[in-house]
Amino acid sequence: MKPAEETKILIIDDDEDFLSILNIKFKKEGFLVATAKNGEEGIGAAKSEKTDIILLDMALPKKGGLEILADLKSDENCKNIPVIILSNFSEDENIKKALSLGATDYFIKADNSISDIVQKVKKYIG
Amino acid sequence: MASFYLFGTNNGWLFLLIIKRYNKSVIIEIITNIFLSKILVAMIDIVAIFLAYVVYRDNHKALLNRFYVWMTILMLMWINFAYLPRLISQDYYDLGLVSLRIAWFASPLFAASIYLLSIYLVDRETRFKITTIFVVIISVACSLLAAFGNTIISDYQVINGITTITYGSNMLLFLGAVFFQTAMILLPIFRDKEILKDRKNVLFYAGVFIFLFFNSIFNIALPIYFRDARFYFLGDYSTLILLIFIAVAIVRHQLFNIKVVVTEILSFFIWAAVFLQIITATTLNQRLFSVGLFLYVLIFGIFLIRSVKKEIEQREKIEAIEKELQRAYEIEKIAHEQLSALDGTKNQFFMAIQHHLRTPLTSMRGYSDLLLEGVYGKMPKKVREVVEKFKISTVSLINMVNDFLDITQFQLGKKVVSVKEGVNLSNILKQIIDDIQLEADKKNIYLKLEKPEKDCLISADESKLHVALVNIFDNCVKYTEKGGVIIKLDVGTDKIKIQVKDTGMGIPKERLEKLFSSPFERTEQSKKSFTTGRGIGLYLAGEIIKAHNGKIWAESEGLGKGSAFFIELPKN
Repeated sequence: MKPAEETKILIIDDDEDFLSILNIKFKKEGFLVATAKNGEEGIGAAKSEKTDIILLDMALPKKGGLEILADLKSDENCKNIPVIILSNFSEDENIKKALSLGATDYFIKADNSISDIVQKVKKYIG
Repeated sequence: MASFYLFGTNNGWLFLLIIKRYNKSVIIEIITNIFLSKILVAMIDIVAIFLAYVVYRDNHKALLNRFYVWMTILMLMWINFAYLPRLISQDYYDLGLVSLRIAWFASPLFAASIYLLSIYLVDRETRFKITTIFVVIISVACSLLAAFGNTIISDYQVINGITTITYGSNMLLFLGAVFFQTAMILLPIFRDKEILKDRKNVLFYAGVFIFLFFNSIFNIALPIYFRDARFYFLGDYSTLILLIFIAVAIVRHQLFNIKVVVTEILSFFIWAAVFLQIITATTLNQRLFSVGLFLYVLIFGIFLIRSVKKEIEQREKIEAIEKELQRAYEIEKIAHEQLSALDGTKNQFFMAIQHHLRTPLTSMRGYSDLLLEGVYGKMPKKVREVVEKFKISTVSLINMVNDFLDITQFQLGKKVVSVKEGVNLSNILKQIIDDIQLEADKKNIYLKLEKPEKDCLISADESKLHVALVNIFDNCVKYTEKGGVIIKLDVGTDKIKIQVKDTGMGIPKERLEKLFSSPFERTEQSKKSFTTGRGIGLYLAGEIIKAHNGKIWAESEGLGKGSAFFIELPKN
C-alpha cells in the first residue's frame, strides 16, 4: 500500500459541510486532498493533477454523479483511477447503475462514520 | 293586373320559336317528356317512399323521423300533382288545374318544413319562436293562396308534355315569400359557422343548397328570364336530392351504407322494370312469363338485400367491438401514463427524502466524529459525554430514516434487498449481540447466543439482514423484564434457522398472525410498556426476511408467557 502522504484524494461533492469534514479527516490521516464542487471542476482536476482515488457524490448540480462517472471512465487519463461513490441515495437501481458504469464501490454517506469511510478508502489504494 | 306569361297562349310567337328551334327533336321530346318522365316520376316516388320507410324504420318514435315522413308526403304531393296534368288530356282541364293547385299548395309547406327542420337540427329547439310562427303563417298563407283562387295559378297549358303555367296577380308576393323562406333557412349558417362542424348539419345544408340551386335555375331563372320551361320538372325533382341528404343526416350513418342502398335501389329498379313488362305485355304468354320473372327477381332481390344487410350488420358489430377495444385501449393508455407519471413523482419524492433527510444528518454525524477525534481541540469530559450522546442520537435518527425509507419502498413493491454471496451470519449475530448487550445489562436480563457456530456463510444483503435481526432481538430485549433472551442458530444443509426465545410479556394469540403484516400496529400491552415504540420493527424485519425468500414467524403461549421468534433463510 502506498503511504498516505503520497496519496492524492479528489473529493467531488457540493455539500460544503461534508466536503469540509472529509477534507479535515483525510488531511489529518496524512492524505493529499483536492476538492471540487461540481462535475466540471472535478473532471478538470482529475485530468490535470495526478489523482489516486476519487470520492464522488451522486446528487450534484448540472452534471449528475452518474454522468461524471461515465465521463471519467471514458477518459484515457482518468479511466484507471478508482472511483468510490459516496451518496445518500440508497436505491438498489442507483447502486447497480453506478457499479455497472465502473464505480469501484458505493457507500451510503449517512450509514458510515468518517472513520469507516477512511478505512474503506484505504482498502482501495493500491 | 300583373301577370306572368311564360308559355301561355298569349305568347304564341315564342312557342312557335321554340318549336322551330327544337323541330328535329320534337318527337324525341314528346317521348322524353311523357314516357321517360313517367318512369322518372315513378322512380322518384319509389325512392322517396323507400327513404321514408328506412327513416321510419330506423326510429319511428323520434320526432325527427316522423317529421321526415310528413316531409316526404308533402314532396310526393308536390311532384305527383305537378306531373298529373301532363298525363291527362286537356279535356280534363279542370282536373289538371286542381291538380296543379294541390302541387302549389304542397310546395310552400314543404319549404316551411325545411325551415322547421333547420331550426330543429341547428338549435335542437322544438318550441316555437315568433319568427318561426311568422314563417309558418306566411307559408300557410301562400299554400292557401295557391290552392284556392286564381291569383297565383290562373291558367295552364300542356304542349308536347310540357306544362306551362300562367301566373296570377299575387305571383310576385308568392316569389317574395319563397325568397323570405330561403333567407330564413340559410340564416343560421351565416350567423354561426360552428354549426357546420356537425356532420348532420353539413349534410342538411348541402341538400338545401343543391335543392335551392336547382330550383333557382329550373323553376325561376330558366322559365322566367329565359322562358324555357322544359326543365321545370328538374327543379321539382331536386326535392328528392334534399330528402336523400336529410335521410342520411337523420338515420345512423352505418344504416345508410352505400352497399345496401345501391343493392336496394338496383333491386327496386329491376322489380319496377319487370313489373312494367307485366303491364305492357301484349300476349298472355308474355305476361305469364313476365309474372314468373317478376316473382323470381323479387325473391332473388329480397335475398340479395338481406345478405348484404347481414354482411353489413356483422361488419358494424365488428366495428363496434373494434371501437370498444380502441376505447378500452385509450383508457388503458391514459391510466398507464398517469401511473408512470405517478411513479415519476414517487421517485422524485424518494430522491428528495433521501437527500434532504440524510444530508444534514450526515454532517451532524461527521462533525461529531471530528469533535470526538479531537480535531477541534480537547474537550472537557462532560462536553465529550454530551457529544457522544449527540452522536448516538444522530445515528439512531439515521437508522430511523433508513427504516422508514425501506418500509415505504417495500410497500411500493420496490426492490430493497440486494443479495450478495459470502455474508458471514455468525459475525452479524455477534455484532448485534455486542450492540444490544448494554441494554440487556441495564435491565439486568441475560442475552445469550447458544452454541455459536463458526463462520456461517450465506447469500444475503448484509446491511438489511442486520437491520432485520436487530429489530427482532431488540424487540425481545425491550419487552422482557425478567429472565432473558436466548438466540440459537441451527445450520442445515441448504438453510439456516435462527431461534430467538424470550421470557417477556408474550404475544396474544390473535396478534401472532398479523405480527409481521402491517406497520405502525402495536399491541395494547406493548403501548402500555413503551409509549415510544414505532411499531415498524417487526414489519420491516418480516419484509426483509421475505425479500430474502426466507420465512419468519412467532410463537407464544399468550400474554405473560414469553415468546419465540423463528427465522428461516436459504443459504444461497
